[in-house]
Amino acid sequence: MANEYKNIGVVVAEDEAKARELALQKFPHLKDKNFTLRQDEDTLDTWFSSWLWPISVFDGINEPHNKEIEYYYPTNDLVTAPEIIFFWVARMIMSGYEYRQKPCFKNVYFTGIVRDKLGRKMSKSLGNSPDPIELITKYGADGVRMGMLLSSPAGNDLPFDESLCEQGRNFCNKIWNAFRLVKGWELPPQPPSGGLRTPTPLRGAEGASKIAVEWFENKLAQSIESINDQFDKYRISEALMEVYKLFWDEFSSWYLEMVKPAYQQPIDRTTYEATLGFFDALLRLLHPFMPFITEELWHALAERKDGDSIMISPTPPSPPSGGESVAILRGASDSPPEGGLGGAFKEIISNIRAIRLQKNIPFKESLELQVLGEYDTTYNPVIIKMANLSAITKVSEKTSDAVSFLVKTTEFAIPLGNTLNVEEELEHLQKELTHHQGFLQSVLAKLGNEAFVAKAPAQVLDLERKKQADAESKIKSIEEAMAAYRCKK
Amino acid sequence: MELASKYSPNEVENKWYQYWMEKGFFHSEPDEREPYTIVIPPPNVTGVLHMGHMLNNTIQDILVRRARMMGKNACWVPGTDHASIATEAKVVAKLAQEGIKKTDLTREQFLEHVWEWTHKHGGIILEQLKKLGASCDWDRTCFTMDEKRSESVIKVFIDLYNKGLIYRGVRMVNWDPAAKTALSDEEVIHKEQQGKLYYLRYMIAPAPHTPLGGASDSPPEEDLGGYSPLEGASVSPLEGGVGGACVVATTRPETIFGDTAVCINPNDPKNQHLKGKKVIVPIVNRVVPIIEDEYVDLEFGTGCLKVTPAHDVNDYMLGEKYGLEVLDVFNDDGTLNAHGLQYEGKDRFEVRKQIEKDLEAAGLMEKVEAYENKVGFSERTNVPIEPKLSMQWFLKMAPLAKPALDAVMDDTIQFYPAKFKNTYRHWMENIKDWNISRQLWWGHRIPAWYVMEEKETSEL
Repeated sequence: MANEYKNIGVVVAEDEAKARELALQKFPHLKDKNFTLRQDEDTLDTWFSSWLWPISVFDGINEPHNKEIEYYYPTNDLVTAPEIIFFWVARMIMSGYEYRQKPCFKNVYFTGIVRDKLGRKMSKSLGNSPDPIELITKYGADGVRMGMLLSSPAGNDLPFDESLCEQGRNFCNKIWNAFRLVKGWELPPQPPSGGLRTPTPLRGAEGASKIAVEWFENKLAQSIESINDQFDKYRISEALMEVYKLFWDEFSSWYLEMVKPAYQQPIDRTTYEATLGFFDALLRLLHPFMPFITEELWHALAERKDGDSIMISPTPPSPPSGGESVAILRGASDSPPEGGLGGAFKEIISNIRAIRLQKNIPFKESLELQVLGEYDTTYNPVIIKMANLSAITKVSEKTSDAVSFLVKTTEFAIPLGNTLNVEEELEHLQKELTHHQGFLQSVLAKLGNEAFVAKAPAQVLDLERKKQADAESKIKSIEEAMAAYRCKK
Repeated sequence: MELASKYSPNEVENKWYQYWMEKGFFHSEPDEREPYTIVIPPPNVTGVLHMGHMLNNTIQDILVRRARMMGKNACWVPGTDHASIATEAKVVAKLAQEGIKKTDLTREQFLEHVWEWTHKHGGIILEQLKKLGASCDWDRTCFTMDEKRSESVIKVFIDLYNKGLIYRGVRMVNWDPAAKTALSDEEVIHKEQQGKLYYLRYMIAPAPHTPLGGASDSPPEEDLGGYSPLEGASVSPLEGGVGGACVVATTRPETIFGDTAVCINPNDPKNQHLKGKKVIVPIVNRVVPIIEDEYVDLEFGTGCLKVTPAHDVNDYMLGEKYGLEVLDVFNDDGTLNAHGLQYEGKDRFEVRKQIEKDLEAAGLMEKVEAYENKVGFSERTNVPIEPKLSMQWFLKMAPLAKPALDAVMDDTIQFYPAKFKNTYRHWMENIKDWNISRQLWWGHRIPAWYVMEEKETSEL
């Protein structure tokens, strides 16, 4: 007959030998008895191991004074989902105080929940989650990283759409193409030296380029300050948007246009050097977000040694606050000191471009710009270059046939007199009118088709109606313009 | 360096990731620089990357790369979690496909299968993170069940036990009948459910002095904690014996097998006539006392509450207060046990449907109304949890919560966005003891040993 045993108590120990020792201490009478130990069948909650994670990964439970735990703990940031604030975050904080008498991290960044277009949480069971690896293959890791961040402020849900990754990929292409543009410019013979570039005071650059470099230098400094501030507040999506706009709008759309050498002309060396310096700084600002393309281009930017990498090069420093150079640069910024109009140059150029478009005046035909009122001439070379002006003149009264626009409180005017051939203009407008009328007919035909209207999804119908409205308003404004020309005639 | 006219990410990505790894740029060792440390939220060891991970790890990588470029000694520690319930469930399902039941295996055999599964699928997710560009210090990769981490867990359990913070006790726990384990409160998700409210007739039993007749070997009432089986009772349920019936509203008629009292509010004018009476649980034919407690909501249903101490947390507390017997009517998989009489072996929800019909047929169902109530579901298996009394290990949380609450409220630890501070405070101020034991095999086995003394011959 098998022996029977009764449970007389419990001991807690790391192994059976230790448990036996404890049992004998706790129940001295067992010395002269037969007894066995039966380990509890249960296991511990998974979170009972992960709640120690910030300590246990540095072996700080087993070796509380080891070099690593002393150095790396408290950790800095924890990035996690709000769903596990109790399961994990709160318990880690508790174990941190219990075992190290210190917080286990300094900051907790709660991400949002990734949802599909319908607002549902992405899950395996719903089958509404794209495969991340496929996305990476399709859009590139940098494109996907950017896509994840484009609409994801901390703690807010991320409505995910593949088009965000596409936007990310487009940005990669934009950077790539901008780089190829710059690298394609004709250079003075001696190659630029490698290493870190900080834009140096300009000597060779002239006119528009000189101003452009100063302007962008300032723009960059402002952005760095703002990016640092966003990072300090863990506004990571916002930091990315700042770099994104800096690169796409300020650098690509404005700066590169300002310094672009004339067709088949070389660029002056100083401007070129400064531009490469800016590129270098931009790549370094972009690197944390888009590590791969920035490393690739950083190596293409200059000769690098084996072991060089953008990932271990310093991030562009913020400008010293209140320093003289900053103060000077501020004067030439988009937000100029009171009264100045220097920063308004973009607006002036945009207005002139709009007039060219509207009046069908090709870029190669230069225009005159008349200024009425207070005006800072600092940006004249840039405006002249980018808007192709023959002159910027201060006048007390604008020419009668001029088209005018306002920037802040200053009025600007473009006299059109010589530039317009009324006959030609009318002919052109007639062509345009015919085109839009034809288009309107085709849209109306579609909308008149009952079968189409019955079957088409609401969005498609809306789109068609919008096309109709757009065409109608286009036609109306062309007709008005034509009427005006006929009067002149 | 000649640049291609088009950017082709795939080539570029592989080339540079390899370069970074070869140069050891991700590796960190303590030095004189300021450290910058992030520990990864460890994903499930056998999981694959999903969009949530993508977002989370992209952000971590941005922070780490930026810190590195700012001259800090950046260290991002990667690793995986053994994910006991999720992994065990996957392996149980896989074995089931092969025709193997977990119960047919010994603990050791089962664990062999899990380790095999872990080695086969483990770490895929970390390889996927590399594709994203994650600059983790891969030399430091940890696993919650590797040697050092396991040792840490056991050490902490022993330490907390010795400090008197870990205890073992019978408590009402959240039972997951699919995973067959207890869950912590945090693993239960409460959802609004469209259900029914059943109004059941509990006939008033004849006065205790009236002999009920029946089997002579029935033990006296007192020995059964206040109820008496009514085998062969002459009371006709339909006629309601002496004093008619009291009507009890419940969403869970399948738990009547565990009823050991009916409770009324002593201040309820409409139920004054029930004071001191006993009633007969329908179908079960058990006589149970009417008890009085102000806990009962005068407005809910009829003001009569069936008391099922084994299957409802509040009833359990009433049971403790009034010394009621606790009758567990369910098996671990959510089917009824022998207490369920003719329904034994049937699933709880099947029984709910069947008993509705049977009560109607017996004339013991007053009415059924549509009813919306909150039901707890298992976070892992998504089945309704069953409150169940069970012997479990608990960690006392109140002493641990104090410094942890202060640290967040005084911004020693900062939350972004700060709105989560409120959520955190609410939970920490109302913290309950943590049920840390799981009836699973995959995980850190509890280092508790039951001392089994050989019985004396005389005791046999």
